[in-house]
This record gives sequence, structure tokens and C-alpha cells, in this order.
Amino acid sequence: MHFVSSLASRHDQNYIPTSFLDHHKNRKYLFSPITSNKTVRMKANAGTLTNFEVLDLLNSRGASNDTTRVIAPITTLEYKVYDYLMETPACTQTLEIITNFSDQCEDFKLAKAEILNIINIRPSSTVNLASILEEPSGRGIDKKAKEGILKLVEALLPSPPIVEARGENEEEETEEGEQLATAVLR
Amino acid sequence: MFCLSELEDTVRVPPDFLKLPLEVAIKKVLQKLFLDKVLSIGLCVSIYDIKSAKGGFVLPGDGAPTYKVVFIIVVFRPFVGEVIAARFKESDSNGLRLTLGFFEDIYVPAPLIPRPNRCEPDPYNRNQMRWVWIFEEQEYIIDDSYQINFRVENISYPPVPTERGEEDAKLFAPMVITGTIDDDGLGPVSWWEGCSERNNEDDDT
Repeated sequence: MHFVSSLASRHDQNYIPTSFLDHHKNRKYLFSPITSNKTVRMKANAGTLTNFEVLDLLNSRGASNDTTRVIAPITTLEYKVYDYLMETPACTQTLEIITNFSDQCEDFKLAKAEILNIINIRPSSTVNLASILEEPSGRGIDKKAKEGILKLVEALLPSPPIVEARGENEEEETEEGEQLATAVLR
Repeated sequence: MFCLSELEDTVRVPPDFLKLPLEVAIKKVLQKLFLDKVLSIGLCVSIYDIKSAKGGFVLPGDGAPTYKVVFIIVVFRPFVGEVIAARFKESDSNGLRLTLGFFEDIYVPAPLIPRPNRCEPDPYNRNQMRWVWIFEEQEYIIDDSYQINFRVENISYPPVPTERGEEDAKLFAPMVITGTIDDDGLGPVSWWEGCSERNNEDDDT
């Protein structure tokens, strides 16, 4: 601790004792200063969640689309996540569906990340599957296997919700939206 | 997209929360501290559970108890290679910007938009540029009419700027996701709608 030589500098608002600054420099920050300068120990990954599991968590706390929003103990950010998830295939899934699906996926030897992607995106055609699978030809996943995976998706995972198309020209877009709906419902 | 993270932190519970049950009070303080903040592990979305809270000592000169809390939070952290459905937000000459509602800093730079493409001033929006993909003499516009599937290429956490830039044009984004739409099945959902019938052609290429 530095002893202050004059009374005037002790009362100066901008005076910071040098030792305090040094102490700060030596402390190791685990986070960027945007959160806090306390050291926080952590385990970064305690489990990956599918979109459905997060939606289920929010639902169990009382999130919903109607006017009870103000009453439920859910923050604005959580509601934004809820709104996003309700537009993805996660809103039509249940826990049994996804556990059943991941069990049956074992035959195809997919990576965990790919199974997660498939559950979250619910691909409806080979093209959608192509963006998810990494190097299918190198791993022996041929056209037959891809069709097998798609059949499994169609059989086990319910079809995604019909997302309303937005656009500048609303009349044209709603027509396309209806076509999208019929393609999905098949 | 989401995962759980276990953290341990020292939490000060303000005295006016003491009339609430301890768990509720600690949860409120944690929400204020962590929710909607970007940590090194990602964006904290929700407090999942409080595993333990020890301590409760009141430090001298302070009116509030301090607890050592071990808790689990839900973090938004996509992995590289994850395919995510997002909505179009805006575009400029550098590329596209997509949004998820709760997270808006997703950028698709121009090299990751399928080629050949062209960028033209948007006829509907004075300040924006519009990207158009030209494939087999058909033009595919990128706009906000459909969900856009993109694949995560990279996540970066730019350091907090210590000085204000002279032109504060862009708000600081603590977490930036770079995505690509340059692959089969990526890009606006409407592009690939009729493709299920052309399976043979896709497999040949």
C-alpha cells in the first residue's frame, strides 16, 4: 500500500493507488471484461441439447404464445428463443420421438453432430441431407443409405410447422407459401 | 445449438431479495449477471438449475450475504458444421446478415454466397443491396421471404474495444458467427423446394 504524501491527492476523485492497478493486472481473467472481473471456474460442456429439449424446458416453465406471457417467470430473451424454436421442427417433437430416432440411427453410423443436425432441421429430401452429411461417399453412405435415413426421418419425425412466408409482395408470397405447405404435408 | 455449462461463482444477494426463498433470490441475481451476456463459452440464454449454494456470509461493511454458487446455464453455442435455419435481416456489398431473433450477428460474407452471383441495389429498400444467385440461367433472389439455411463456418469472439472508434457506425458484437450458404441444400428454403424430383441429377454432380 502506498502512503499518500499529501491530503489533497487522497481526496482527489481520480487518484487510484498504484498498487491497486498492479493487483488488477496480475489477476487472470477467465472471461472478457464484459461480464465481471471475478474468477469463475467452470465446465464448459455439461451436455448438448437439441432444440426440442430447450423448447421443452421453456414450456415447462410456462412459456406460451398467449397473453399469459406477462405473468410467467420467463425473461424477454427466453421468449425470443421460444419464438424462434416454435418455428423450427422442434415444436412438433416429443422426447420419445427423438430418443427413438437416435436409437434407430445407429444402423447408419452417423456422427452425433449429424444426428443432432437432422433432429433440429428435419431434412425432407436428399438435397437437405447433403448439407448435413460430411463426406458421405468417403464413409460408404451411398444413395441407398441416404434414402434409408430419409425414410426414417419421415417415419419417425413429425413434419415441421408451416412457416408463413414473409415478403414485400404479400399476395404472391402467400401463394408460394401455400405451395410450400402442400409440399410439406404431402 | 444449445448446450449446458456448469459454472461456479461468488454471488452477492442484495438485501431486498432476502424476503424471497433463497433459490429464487439467487436465481434472480444470476439472471441479472449472466442472462443475455456473452461469455467465453457462448451466449447465456437461461439459468437451468442451481446445484449448490454455500456460504451466506455477510462481509464487514456490507449489508448483503455472499454465496458461493454452483449452477448450470443453457448456452447458445453452435458448433462448426451445424446447419441452422435463420431469417434474412439485411445485406450490403460485403455480404448478408442473418438473424435468429435472439441472436442477430450472423454474417455470410460475399465469398460464401454461391457463385455466379451479382449484387445490385435493392429496388424495394433504398439503403440495401440485394444478392442474386444465377444458376442455369435462372435468377434466385436472396431476401426475407423464406427461412435461410446456413452452415456455421466459424465463431469468433472479438475483444471488447477499449476506445470508442471515431465513427461508431456498428455496435460492438461480442460474438460473431460466420456462415456459408454455398452448398447443396443451403440458402433460402424455397430454392430447393422442387428438388426432390431431380434426385438423380444431384447425385451425378
